[in-house]
Amino acid sequence: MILSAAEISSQTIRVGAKHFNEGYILSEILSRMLELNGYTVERNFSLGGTLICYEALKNNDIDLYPEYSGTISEAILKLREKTGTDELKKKLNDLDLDISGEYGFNNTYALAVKRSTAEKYGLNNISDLRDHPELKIGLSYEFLKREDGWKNLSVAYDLKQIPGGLEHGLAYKALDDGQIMLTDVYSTDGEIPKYDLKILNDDKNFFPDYSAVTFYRTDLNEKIKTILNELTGKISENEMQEMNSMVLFENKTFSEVAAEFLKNKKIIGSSDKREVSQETNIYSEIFPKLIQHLKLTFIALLLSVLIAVPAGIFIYRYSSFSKPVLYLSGLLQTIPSIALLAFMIPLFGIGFLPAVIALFIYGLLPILRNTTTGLFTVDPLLKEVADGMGMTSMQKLYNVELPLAMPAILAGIRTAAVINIGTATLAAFIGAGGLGEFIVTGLALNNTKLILMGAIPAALLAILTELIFEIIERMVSPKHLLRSGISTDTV
Amino acid sequence: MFPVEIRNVSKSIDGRQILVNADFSVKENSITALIGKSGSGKSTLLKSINGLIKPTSGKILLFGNEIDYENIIPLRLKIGYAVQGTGLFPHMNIRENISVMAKLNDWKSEDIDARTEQLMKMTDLSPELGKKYPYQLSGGEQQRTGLCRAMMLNPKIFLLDEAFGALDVTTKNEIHSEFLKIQKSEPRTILMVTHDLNEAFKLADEIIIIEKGEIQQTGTKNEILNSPRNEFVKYFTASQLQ
Repeated sequence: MILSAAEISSQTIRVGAKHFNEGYILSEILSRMLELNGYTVERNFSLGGTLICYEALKNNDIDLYPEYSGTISEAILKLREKTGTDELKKKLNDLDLDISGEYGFNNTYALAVKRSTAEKYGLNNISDLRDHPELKIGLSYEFLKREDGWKNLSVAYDLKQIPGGLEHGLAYKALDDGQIMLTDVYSTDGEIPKYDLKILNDDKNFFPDYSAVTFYRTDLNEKIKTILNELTGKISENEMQEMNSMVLFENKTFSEVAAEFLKNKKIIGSSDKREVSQETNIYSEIFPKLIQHLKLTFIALLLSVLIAVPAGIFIYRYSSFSKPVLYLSGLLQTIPSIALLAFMIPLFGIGFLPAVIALFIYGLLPILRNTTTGLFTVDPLLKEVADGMGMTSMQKLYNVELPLAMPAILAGIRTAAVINIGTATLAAFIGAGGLGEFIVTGLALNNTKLILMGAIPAALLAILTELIFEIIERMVSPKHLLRSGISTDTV
Repeated sequence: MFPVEIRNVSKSIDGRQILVNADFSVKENSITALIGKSGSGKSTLLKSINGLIKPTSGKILLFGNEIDYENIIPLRLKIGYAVQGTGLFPHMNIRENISVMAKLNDWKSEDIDARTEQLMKMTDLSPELGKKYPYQLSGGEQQRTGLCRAMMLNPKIFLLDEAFGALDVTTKNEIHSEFLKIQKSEPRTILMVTHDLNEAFKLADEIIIIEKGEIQQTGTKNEILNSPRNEFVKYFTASQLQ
């Protein structure tokens, strides 16, 4: 099928990326290949783990992202036996999904120890771990949970160690510092040579094949599928390790590495003119993300206030509702934020909207609870006097109960605001942007500077919010409560 | 016609009898004191007059009509209500406390100002207190504010629940005499709850002694002192007047 230039350029391809080094590089390579063919690419990188990427793909929020065959069969399709490529493609086609040809490298899970540790304990094979139950193991959260992860591996090899969980980007540092002695790695990780690690031989052939492929929706046109297949057989394990290592240890950006790869492989000619990454001012990088962060937080907070304050008043006046409503909002609060964000994808897709809705849900409880508590704890004598004087219940609410409950209500809004600023950093996992994008990318790339670029403004924002609320509280709190600096936080 | 008629009123809460067949009438523009120990039911009786408490049985007639609990607000606006000092709204200044009900009932602002000033003058509250908040006032000033607030809408009936409690003797005496002065210039039907027999004797035309929810005796100071109806009244008056 041949499309005219106008048709092609009007098409935007949405490319996702799993949030770790290799995911970024591969997604950038794909994005550039598409751009060179005249397509506009929307980069939805930093999409968190497998679940979020897959949900976004299924939900038509992205068109494609690089994935591994083993992950697709084990973690996504939950297939127990090893599956051939043809069968895998058939099962995916039923879901309107497909995979490209293999890139050429197998990024399998592997267990790694420092070479010194291996020598000390005589470790060569995974089954050697059986003799050393005292080894301290730290594994990535994803590996702990996957079908082809620790749970079944420890059964297959009869291992008794109890592993702890940590972010994959931090595992090497922890290994190097001796905080853990063994972790899961990907066999193409750039850190393996750098930290002088030894990969334990999978002597029982436990791990499935993790060949990298492009995972895409079948509704993409044929031209695009052809472009994607150009990568088939183009990347060896060593080449991938090298690219990973360049980003990690040679201070190159993943887009520089991607551009270099495409040039070396002659996939692009000299037509790519944007190779050199422009040095941008750190503040001009932070500012738009900060604004986005404020937008996320503020809109969510506003919605929480608009719903939770009236709801709080309602359950105060019809107190038989108060228990179920408070329990329900308490229940919502206990959902881990990253899980809540993941639940949002099938309903609202990825990006700004689901993040705002998740933050809105988190804001409800503190405001609702403080509103009702504030109203319930107004001196009953004052309520009785208001009644006795002939106030209607509305007059009593506006003139007596709400003003006296105001410090508690504001304290609730303040708590919600600060929670929101913190939780909003996680919203980057579902492509909502904001300061979390630095943190998520920084974690994936093990780049402290990036992490701090997100974390410091977020912390300052939280402090600033506290200060602003203190001023607002001074302005709207009943004067008599301000006389001795009585704290309003304790309600 | 009596402005307040209590007909066979009983009240029980959770099976406990708080009031037992209370039955009396209050003459127009008289002061009636409800007196008894704490827990005797005197406050419950007072609160049943402005509908804060609904009797389990019996009838309450105000201005000749039975209380319509579905439409109680207009009635309450005709009844002043003052309680011990803490009943002031802490977030409103003194003028706001006094005038709140007038404002809520759409009085013109010049009328509100005039009435507020008149009341403050009448109760000897200096004008500069108007902008202060209750916590900045002495106990006596707070009580006076409470009285002003209850009188703001010029109610025909005035209910006072221990409105002079928690004051030192000198202040109490001052307020008592001002109270009687006001009653002379703006006479109204007053029911007051107190546990202090001296106060009742000093202010009230008629005294109702309550114990365990039952009215023990109704009468003037002299009737109560000279012909106590039972042992309780005899004992109660003796112990109070020691």
